[in-house]
Amino acid sequence: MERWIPCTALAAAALLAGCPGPVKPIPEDARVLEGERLFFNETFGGNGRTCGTCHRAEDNFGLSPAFVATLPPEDPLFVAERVPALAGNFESPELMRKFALILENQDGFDDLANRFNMRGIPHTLALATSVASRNGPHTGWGGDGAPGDGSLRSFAVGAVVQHFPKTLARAAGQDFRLPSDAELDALAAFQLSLGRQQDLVLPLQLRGEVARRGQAIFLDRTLGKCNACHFNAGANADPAIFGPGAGNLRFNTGVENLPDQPADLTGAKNPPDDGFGNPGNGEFNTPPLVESADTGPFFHNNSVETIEGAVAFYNGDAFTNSPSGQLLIGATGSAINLDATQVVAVAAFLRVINALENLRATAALLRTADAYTSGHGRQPVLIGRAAFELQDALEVLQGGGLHPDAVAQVRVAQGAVERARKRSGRARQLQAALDAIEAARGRLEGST
Amino acid sequence: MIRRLAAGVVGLALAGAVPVWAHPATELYIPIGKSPGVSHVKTRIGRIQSLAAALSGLTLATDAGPAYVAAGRATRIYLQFADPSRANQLGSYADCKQGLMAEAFIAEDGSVPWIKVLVP
Repeated sequence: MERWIPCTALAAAALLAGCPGPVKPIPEDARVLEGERLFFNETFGGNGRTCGTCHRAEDNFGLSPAFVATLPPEDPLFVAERVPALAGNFESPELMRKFALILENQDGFDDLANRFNMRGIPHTLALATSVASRNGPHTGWGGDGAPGDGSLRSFAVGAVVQHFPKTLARAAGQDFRLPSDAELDALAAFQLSLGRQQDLVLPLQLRGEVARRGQAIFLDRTLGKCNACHFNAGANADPAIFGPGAGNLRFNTGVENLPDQPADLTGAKNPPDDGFGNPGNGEFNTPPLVESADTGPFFHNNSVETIEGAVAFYNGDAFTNSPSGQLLIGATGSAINLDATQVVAVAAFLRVINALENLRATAALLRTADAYTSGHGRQPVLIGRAAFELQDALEVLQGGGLHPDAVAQVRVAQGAVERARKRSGRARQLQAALDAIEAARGRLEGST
Repeated sequence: MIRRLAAGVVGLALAGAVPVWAHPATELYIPIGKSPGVSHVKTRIGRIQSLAAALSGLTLATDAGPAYVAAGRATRIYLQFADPSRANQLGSYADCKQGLMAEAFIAEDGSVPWIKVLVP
């Protein structure tokens, strides 16, 4: 009896404190979790960087200049500013700080001072939908980022060699260690688990008039013509045009010929990027568009800041005079020529499908968090990631002046998620957030 | 319109049929036998048994027996040095010497994207 009373008291106190209930099985794949650990923590014996140094979970698994500006000087991203062995020809600190551009030697390491390109950091979302192509896996911006068999699994090895070394000798075993087969498997599994696992099926029943018009323009083969290469707003080509199983294709769209590119305006050295191959053929992989609105700046060189500007790019001379632009003119009889309202409409469509994806991802993260035993250390990680997605949904809609009613529901969800982070009635708050997310989604899409 | 576009893209599709690896530069720094998804699967590894200079060819003495490899104009020769303080570098067919350990990647179409040679 003497022991019973304190136990009861402890149990009651535990209940009041929201202590763990029944233990639930781990709801996530063990290999994916190991891949996540490696992605964010493993330096592979190198200069301190991890995959997550550039592919930030807080920034859609990419990196924007605004996010770079928030990082402390000791962040591993800035290793070239601190380590003498990496001070020259490893990064361009000015272009990294101003435009989140990373130095790549995809055409070879034999002339480090002159032979390099400055590229943005592509997000790693929805890779499950975008890596496959008729010609094998397409990774990175140029399609040739991965050594070995060119697979996403092998991409990590190329990234370690390019971005992780202690010195520019890049000696395996000294300047870094190579990932093991098991580590490559885990890293690939984690990356493939991120974001969408399948493409949309357009058209969606969008509620907003502008986004709905934007979708129509996007799909119109004589007007926007976007769907030919970004089928269903993804990264794959329209099988009706390019044949079944075309998957991800590379195109030379003339981005390199844009005038007044921000990085060039600084006067910093920024050699032209020849894209896939060595010598390159000017082609770059087609990126998925569902994820685009909250992952700017746009294109391989971060040359366009806004989603509206990215849509407008296809109106301009750089695209029209490019091999892809000329092909489109030959096939359709005209260049893409959207007026300002049409550009904004297509961008509104991209903003809305991005917000919908953010809401889907948020709900999935919260449900996974809820599937863990209450108090499990994984819950704050997942809830925190959901909070980033919600903030993106809010900013993407607000940035286009779209759907204030949905924005209001996103704010309600944010409040519930914030309370769930603080563990005050977590299960109840997660459900409240999910209800608000569903309400927000209903403002964006669905039959009227 | 679809038919015209489809006809137009044939050229693009063919142009895009370059092997996906297309000499990723980082292969230079990956040691013999460690190329992910390729080593021991699509490569032959062994000492250089003989050379056929006129054909830019070489025969490797592999565990499975002699393997003849014909380097083409597009074949990269990657030099890996036994002295770990020396950085790997691009070489040429002339760096392929009898008795040196080498690894050759033979693609599905029979081409040889690269040969790695261990230089003492």
